[in-house]
Amino acid sequence: MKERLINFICRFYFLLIMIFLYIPIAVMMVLSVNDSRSRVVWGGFTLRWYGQLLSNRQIREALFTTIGLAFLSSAIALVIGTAAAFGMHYMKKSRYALMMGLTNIPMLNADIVTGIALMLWFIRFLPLGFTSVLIAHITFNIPYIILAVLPKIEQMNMSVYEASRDLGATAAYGFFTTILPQLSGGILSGFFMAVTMSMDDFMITYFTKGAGVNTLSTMIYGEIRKGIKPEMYALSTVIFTAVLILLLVVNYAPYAREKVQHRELAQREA
Amino acid sequence: MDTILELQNISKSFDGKPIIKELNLEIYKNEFITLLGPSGCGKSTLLRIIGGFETPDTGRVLFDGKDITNLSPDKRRLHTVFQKYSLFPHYDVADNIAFGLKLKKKDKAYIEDKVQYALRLVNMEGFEHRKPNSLSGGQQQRVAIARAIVNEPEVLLLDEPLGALDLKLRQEMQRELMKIKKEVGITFIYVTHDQSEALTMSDRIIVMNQGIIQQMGDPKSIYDEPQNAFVADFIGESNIIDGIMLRDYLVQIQGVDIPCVDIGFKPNEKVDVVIRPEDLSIVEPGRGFTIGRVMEVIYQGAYYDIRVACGDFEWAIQSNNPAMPGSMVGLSILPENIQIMHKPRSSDEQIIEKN
Repeated sequence: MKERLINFICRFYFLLIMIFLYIPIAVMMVLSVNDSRSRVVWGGFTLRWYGQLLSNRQIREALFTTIGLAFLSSAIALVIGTAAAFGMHYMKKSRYALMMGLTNIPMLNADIVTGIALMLWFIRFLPLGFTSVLIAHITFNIPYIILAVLPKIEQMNMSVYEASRDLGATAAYGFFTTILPQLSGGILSGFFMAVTMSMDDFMITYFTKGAGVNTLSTMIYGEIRKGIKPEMYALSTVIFTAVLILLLVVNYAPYAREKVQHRELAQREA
Repeated sequence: MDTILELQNISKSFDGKPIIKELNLEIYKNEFITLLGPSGCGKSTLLRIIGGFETPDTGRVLFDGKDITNLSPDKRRLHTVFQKYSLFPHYDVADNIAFGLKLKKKDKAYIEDKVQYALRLVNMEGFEHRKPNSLSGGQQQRVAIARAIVNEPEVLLLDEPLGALDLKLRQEMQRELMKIKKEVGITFIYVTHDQSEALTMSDRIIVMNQGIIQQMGDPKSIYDEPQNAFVADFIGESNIIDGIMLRDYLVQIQGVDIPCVDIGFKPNEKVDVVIRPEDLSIVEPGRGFTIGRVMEVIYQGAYYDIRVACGDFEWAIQSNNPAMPGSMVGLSILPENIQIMHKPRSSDEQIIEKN
């Protein structure tokens, strides 16, 4: 009896958390296929709002900006962040700790502070526009790359690299054939994490973008100020789904690789 | 003999801690030379300097008379077999072995031939398309050896290659390594902390401790005539006891005068006396050079490991016959089995080669 009560409380608690976390998003998704401009009346199922999304040039442009910005900034941050992670790995302990702190601060810092600071900095040197947003996104993406790649560097097996050099490989060839494959898991998850962060960002983009440049999030914000339209529900649903899929890929990819390794190991033992 | 590698005055320290101290060594063509010593003695660092993975602080490395001290590993005509195998995990066995040949842009048929030859050499035919992590430790090490040898290096460096294997496999691989050595006829520089491995395989052993060479010579001379207490203690088990060299052919241990075969010491010089456990025999009390009480008898299979206390010294004896614990026994020794050594003036005094 007592056990069943505890069991019930546990389930209830879990359910409560899920309701608070996901019901709002579910409501938004439902409204995105609601054939009515009202927020309280169900007017039947429709994909009309999604259709309008696709035909809206402004939204299409914002979508391309968002995706382009996300992948470009992540790719550049990937190179810088990986190089930084290598540098940190070979630092003395005290300097390593200092660098780690410097890496963490931008992540903990309020976005609005980062956004305003970057804006103040940028307007001194270059016109606000796609370039300034790109630099801002690279800046806040670098820490995510470092944090994803660094543990892999610490685990890596250097003797494989030495073996390649020993067998006649140049430093660059040895790096690409032996080191990079070992880091690929961290690099991949860091990259997609950065893409997600870039797509998610509103605050920093808002402050560093010039007139005429819009990502989906800044565009939604602009539209909502004029009044909420159901297209925005549809757009938000699309963004949520895209980010969800990305996150699933990021989290599932290393797990899948592990499973393959386990299977190989099991075969070997059999 | 032709010298292939020459180390001149090599020193190396890490974070201010000296690892190798002004070391000189000549390595000859086609010899199987072993660097033997406890962990931290500098043997692996020395191998890494030869391989090009470390640069010495001072000194030069000469290969065939040419200075290669600052040459990167990929430009040296020698290859290393690493302790942790270090196979490329995403390549199969054949691709691992072909790695060096592909870099040298050899044609396909040649590479295939050489890979097959190398696989045969290490007894791994039929494993071409297996991935390294599906192989056992011993198999991985065979592939690592094949991968190095296929490039026809003039010197092969082996860094404790059998360290991770169990005893039976290790002994099997020792025999195979010697066979491979005979077949390819190149210089092997072998690093190990396992003295029996060194004694079994080597033409010449370099015993190292604290970054300096303690003794070098063939296995028999290292075992039979250790030059100092460290070597005596490290190579096999030894009784090392303080003695006084009264005059030529006579040494005093624990107040007893014992005839020996050593000469050339100062009269009444304090010395270290080394006696191997298997050279001592247990006799009736009063008949040997000393009397003691049997403290412990442990059956080891091939022999009994017996401890006998005489005064404040405990002798280790290996005997084919057991003794009664607690009983009094005599110990006897043949004069030629007593090895007398100078006391070192300092803990890391270098003992020069005696051949």
